[in-house]
Amino acid sequence: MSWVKSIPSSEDDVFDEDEEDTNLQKKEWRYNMEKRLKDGFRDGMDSGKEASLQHGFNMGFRDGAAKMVIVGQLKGIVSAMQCWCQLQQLDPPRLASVTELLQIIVRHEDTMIERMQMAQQHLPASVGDITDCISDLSVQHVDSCCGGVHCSGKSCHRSEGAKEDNSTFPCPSTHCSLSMEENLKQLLKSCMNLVYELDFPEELLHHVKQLMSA
Amino acid sequence: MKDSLTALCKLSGHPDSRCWFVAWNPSGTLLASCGGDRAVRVWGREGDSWVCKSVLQDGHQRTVRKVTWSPCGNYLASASFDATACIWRKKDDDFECVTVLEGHENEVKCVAWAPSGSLLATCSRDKSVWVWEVDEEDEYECVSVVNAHTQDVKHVTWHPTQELLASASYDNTVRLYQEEDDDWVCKATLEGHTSTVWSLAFDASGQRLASCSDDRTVKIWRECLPGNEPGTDTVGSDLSWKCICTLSGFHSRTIYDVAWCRLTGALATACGDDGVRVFREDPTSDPMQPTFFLSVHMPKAHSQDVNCIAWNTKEAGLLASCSDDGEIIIWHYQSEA
Amino acid sequence: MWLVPNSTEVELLFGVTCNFFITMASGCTSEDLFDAIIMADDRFHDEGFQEGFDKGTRQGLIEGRNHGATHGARLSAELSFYYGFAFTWKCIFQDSPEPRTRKKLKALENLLALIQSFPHDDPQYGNLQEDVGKVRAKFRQVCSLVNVPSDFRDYVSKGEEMSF
Repeated sequence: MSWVKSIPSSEDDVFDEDEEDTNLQKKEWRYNMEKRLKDGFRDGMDSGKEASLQHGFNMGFRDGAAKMVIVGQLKGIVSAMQCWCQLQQLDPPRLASVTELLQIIVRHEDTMIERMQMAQQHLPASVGDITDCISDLSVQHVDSCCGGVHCSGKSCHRSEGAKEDNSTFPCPSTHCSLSMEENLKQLLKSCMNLVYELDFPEELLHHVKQLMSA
Repeated sequence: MKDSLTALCKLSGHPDSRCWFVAWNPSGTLLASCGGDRAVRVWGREGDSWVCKSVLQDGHQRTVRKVTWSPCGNYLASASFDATACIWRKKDDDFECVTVLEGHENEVKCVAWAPSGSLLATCSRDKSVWVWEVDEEDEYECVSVVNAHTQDVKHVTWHPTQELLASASYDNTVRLYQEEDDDWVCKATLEGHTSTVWSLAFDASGQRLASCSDDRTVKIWRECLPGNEPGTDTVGSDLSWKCICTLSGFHSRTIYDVAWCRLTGALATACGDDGVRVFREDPTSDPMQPTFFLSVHMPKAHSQDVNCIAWNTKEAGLLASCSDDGEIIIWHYQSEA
Repeated sequence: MWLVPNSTEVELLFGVTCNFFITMASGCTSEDLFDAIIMADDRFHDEGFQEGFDKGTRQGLIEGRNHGATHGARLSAELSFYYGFAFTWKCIFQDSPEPRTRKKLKALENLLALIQSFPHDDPQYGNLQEDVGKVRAKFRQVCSLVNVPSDFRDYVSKGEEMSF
């Protein structure tokens, strides 16, 4: 340990030493301690990360799974309706309305997944950057979905809140969740209308209603 | 060597193309062949020679990989790289396509009828094995999709008397399936080959199964009844089969097909070294640990890879083989025994 | 990728530990001094470690969570799709006067039961891959039974290639 040499011995009066020399020793000491601190920090980071990654993955997996249940089912329902219409050779306008709804649902689902991917790509490089990242995400989020006239402003406030509070991690898939949720409700409603119009069984209508209240 | 193999007839089966597979009808009077020219041909004997009786075209858009007869002999099934299987019904002297079985994601590699004629199995590069049920009105319904293999499934074949299905795969294994609660499930995995298993053949009794592989060996597997056989660890009601014999050192390339004559017990192989070989079991050897000897070897039987070998179902010693060179050869095998 | 503490944090830490060391060192033997140096060395490391560990834990959580979210979402979207699809066909066939629906209904009910039979939101569930494989196989059988058009299969097979 070369830096041991730089430690002042107990006999010496520290203040009698040449000031420049002291400064130099102090500097080296500082440098070495800083290095130990950094090394410790790096080791700690690795251990901490290793210890929590799986837990985080499990949590995220569960959250992500829960978010897609309704939209996924809705896509399945409308896909089946579309197949049925094709097999029954329903008139083109009615088939078109089912197809159109299916396309919107698929887009909605894609957007939800894209948001999650976006969050993954924007992983913070350092803790200090987390806040930057949060604001980055908020900015993007404002651009992508709150710029419209339908924006209630509520969700924007929400993301600003996240900027101030470092302890709550942003789960970007919840960004703008209000309007996404409203959107999904709307799609469920459209689906119900089609189930009714095309005279699909009562049980299906009931099931879509249940999804709506879930 | 007293045993002999004589070429009776050479047919230009699928000219300028590969001939992939040949199959005898149950009464042994007709031979069906298929190939890279997307056609199925049916051959019949006329005097001393064999002639093409019908050509089944326009059923498939790509190579026809396998063809098989229904147990009643009135239907043909063909498996194609166009991801479908076709069912052809015999009508007078011709065949018409009555059903196209769709569902596989890509190349269908094989199709096989169960002995009852009411079940049909298909397998594909999509790693799945499908079991179809046929009703009296020729309607086919999929009863099960089994994803047991981890790779391309090359071959499927049924047990001669039971509803037991076997499949061979690029994943080096053979798998056996039985029905359970309306579904077909993998009941045994036969591991031992070190490379792709290309084909399978049950013996007449169904107690033994032969498999051939890219590892240049043929393996003989035998069913071990639970509790009856020493040295098997059978769990629950699942099937247990073990390898009782490995034929190695006889083939210098991939073995693409193996056929077990249900009349004589002779075992024939089709090999990538262009040769055809016939093996026989040493009658003095222990049936639980049998030894097979090479009865006949016909090197350069074809000018290219031999893809398939098939024993006639009624006439002992009558053998058909086909090759990448597009040719079909009909052989007569004779043994001193 | 690891974190560098900002300069104020280092300053603070450094100041405190430096004072501690000087107090320890005054009037001690050289052996004690050496021990003290080692201690300081360890202490700086430990201090950094703790700080790093906390931040690593938080970052691991975020990283794992984001990563897990997309995987969980994809799988759930796929299985939920199958569920909605099968449920709808079950409703249709239940009310249908069409003969020969028994086998179709049975397969549909099997598929619905299969999807509900395992925790597909738990990535550490041991049979996840295997059970998802069974669901996909059953879904393909159902598609064949209800005779869905082939362009639909193309649309679905895109989803089946999802590697999880």
